[in-house]
Parts: sequence; C-alpha cells; structure tokens
Amino acid sequence: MNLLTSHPSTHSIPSRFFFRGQDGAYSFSDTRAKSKMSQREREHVKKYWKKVDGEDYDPDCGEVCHVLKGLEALVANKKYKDWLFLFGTVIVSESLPQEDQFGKTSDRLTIMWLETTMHCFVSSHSRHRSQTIRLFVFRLCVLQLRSCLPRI
Amino acid sequence: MFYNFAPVYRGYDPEETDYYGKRFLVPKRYLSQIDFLTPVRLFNASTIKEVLGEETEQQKALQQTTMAHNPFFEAPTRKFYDQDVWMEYKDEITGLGYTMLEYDWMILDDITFTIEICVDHFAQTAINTYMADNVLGKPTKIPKSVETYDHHAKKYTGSVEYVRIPDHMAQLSLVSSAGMTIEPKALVLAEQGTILLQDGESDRYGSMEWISECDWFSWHFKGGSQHVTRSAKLTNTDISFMYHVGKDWEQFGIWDELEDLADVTWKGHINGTFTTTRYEPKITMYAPKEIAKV
Repeated sequence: MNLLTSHPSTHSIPSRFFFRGQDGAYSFSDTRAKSKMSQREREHVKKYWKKVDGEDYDPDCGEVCHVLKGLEALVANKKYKDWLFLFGTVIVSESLPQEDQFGKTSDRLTIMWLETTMHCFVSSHSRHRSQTIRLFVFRLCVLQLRSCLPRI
Repeated sequence: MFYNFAPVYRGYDPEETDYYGKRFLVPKRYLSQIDFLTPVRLFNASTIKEVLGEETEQQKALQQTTMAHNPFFEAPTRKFYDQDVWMEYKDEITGLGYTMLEYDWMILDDITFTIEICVDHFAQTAINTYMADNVLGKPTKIPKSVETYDHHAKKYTGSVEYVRIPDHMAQLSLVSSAGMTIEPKALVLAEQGTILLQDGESDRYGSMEWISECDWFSWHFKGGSQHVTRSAKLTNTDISFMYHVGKDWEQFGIWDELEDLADVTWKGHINGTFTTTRYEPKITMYAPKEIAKV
C-alpha cells in the first residue's frame, strides 16, 4: 500500500493483485462471500446499501459485488473527501454460456470460432509460426467446427 | 473469460454530495507474464507442449522455482485481455455509478490523471493514447468529473462529462504494479508532474541509475515503490528530461500487534487470501508535494 500526502488530495495505491480471492480469481457467479461474512459485517453492508445507494440489500450480491460495495462504503466518509484511492486490481473469472435459450451455439462461441479460423489463416501464412502451433489451431478449428456446424 | 481491473474511488462526504463521477474502473489491457501463476506442483507441462513446441525458458526455469508463470505468455499470439466484453458491460457499469477509463486518462478536481496497471505502463498505453490521439486530430474523449450545486437538494451532485485530452499531459500518474518499475519512455507527465508507482513485489524504495545500454547512457529506475517528478529542459544544445526521486518517505506495518496471532482487524480479514506470517503488508507514506500547475 502506498500513500502520498499532498494538499489538497491524498492518494492511496495498494499493489496489483490486491483482490483476487482464494482461488486466484473471484467468480461472478460465486456467492460464497455471503456465508463468509460475519453478522456485524453483514449489518454494516446492509446499512450502507440503504444509506448511500438508497436500495435494499441484494441477497444475490456475490464476491465481486461485495468487494466493490465494501470499497464504496469505505470511501463514503467525510474524512476521506480529499482522498483518491486506487485499490490495486481485482481479478474475476466468468463462465461463458455455450448455448443460447434456443439451444443453439451462442454468437460468442461462433465469433470465437471465426477468430480461431482467422488465426488459422494468419498462422498458416506466417513464417514465424511453428508447425505445432498450426496443427494445434487447426485441430481447435476442427473441434469447434464439429460443435458449431450442426447448430448453425 | 477473465477480467482484470483496478477499482478507483474518490472519497466524499455523503452529507455534501453523491457518488456520481467518483467511481472508476480501469480495465487492464495487456496480459502479464505473472498473470495466472500456477504452483509447480499443479503445473502440467504436457498441456502446453503442443502449443509452445520446444522447451521454453519458462519451462527450464520451472526446475528452480515453486511457481510457474503463465506459459502461454511465450506463445506468439495475442496477449490482450478481452476489451470487447468490457464494452458489452459498459452500460451496466455506468448504471452502477462507475465510469470506465478506456484510455487510462481522466480529469478529477481539474487535475489530469493517468492510471496504468503494471505492464500497461511498460506497453506505454497512456502516452501512446496521447500520441495517437494527436496524430488522428484529437477525436478521443476522456471522462472529467464535475460537480454542480443543487439548490433544491441543498447539496452537490456529481456527474461526468467527456473532454479532450489536455495538451499539457498528466499532472499525476499512478501505476499499480507487481514487479514493474517506472519506464522513462512511458512517462506522459506535464512539467513538474509526478508519477507514483506501488510495487507489490518489493518493499524497497525506488531509486535511479545512470546505465549504459547499447553504448548509450540513460536513466533507469529501480523498484519497488517509486515517487518521481519530471521536468523538461530545452535549449539549443540540450533537449532532455530531468527526474527527481522523492526521498521523504516512511513505511508502516499494518499489524496492530505483531505477536498477537488473533489480530482480527487485519490478519483475520486477509487470512486465506494473503500470507499472514511471511510478509507483513506495509504502508508507504510520502511527504506532501505540490501538484504540477498547468
């Protein structure tokens, strides 16, 4: 953590990777944070939501939500009104859906497949790409082609 | 899909104003070698063999360490975090009162800031934005936090407006890093502007050395925490930048009581996420310094 005391503003910079969770990255879908909170912390967050956001506490608030809400609560304080906080970095993972609501492969996967095809094209025309990379990307293309074609 | 971003906040008194224009998210643009570290005991080299081919320096180094860097960093492919997905979330982020710093530039309290995350600084994202914007005729707009007084509510209300990047460059640059030092060529500071870099890998205080590289002497900065002010010199015979490394600083440990294993105020909160026995997190506090006038 790092502080510069400078009129009129004070800056606080924790280092990178400051928030990354016990598994190396938080998960957007993970709501374990709720169960890990003490009763006192839960009451504090609830009170904050009402006071600053004017909203009722969202029981589905996950790990990232709690990190951000906690930081928001911290800075909403008269004594920090001349401070700027750079709270290191937060690392989060998200599982992307592979199918849309109609059972089809999602656009995102299709786009990924197209990008992979482009990689295939680029790599096969590059002198610097190794044969193994070309083979790998090609196999990836074929694999994705198999999964995409029946549904497109 | 992974997201890597820095949450940035300006403190405020809720009785006087609201949070609009005071919450920012800075997405990390480039992938670092130390993103996605894997303990060697869990690292399976065969999963990357097909992509990377021959044994890499990374794999050779594995025999002497306990932590494997991201092996795909050495693959000749794109090394960016996905920026498109941030664009998809932009409206939602805005709805939550956050402003996204897409170009690592912002204006707050009429002070021009750049904020870079580690290797983004090495990749010169802030100065490249400035240069590219100039070349393209200055189409880029960056967020500026503004406040207006609401006579009805009898308090200030914050908002964000978008303005051009100021010609004078940044008065303050901030870098949150882990193993990255200040790069002189990446500085985009106004005259007497200051850069602050916090290195999470080192608790040493930053310094600078006059080193020869390819028969050419220049200043090189050494980590960890760094606090540097830059000024420019322009004469008929000399065009150069001068650097002043701040030396008035002090470090404080954050444990309330070192011998108290039940120190719940700090140790309890970070236990499980960080080691609570090997390294004590420290706060580095610098002496007050005037912000560059423009």
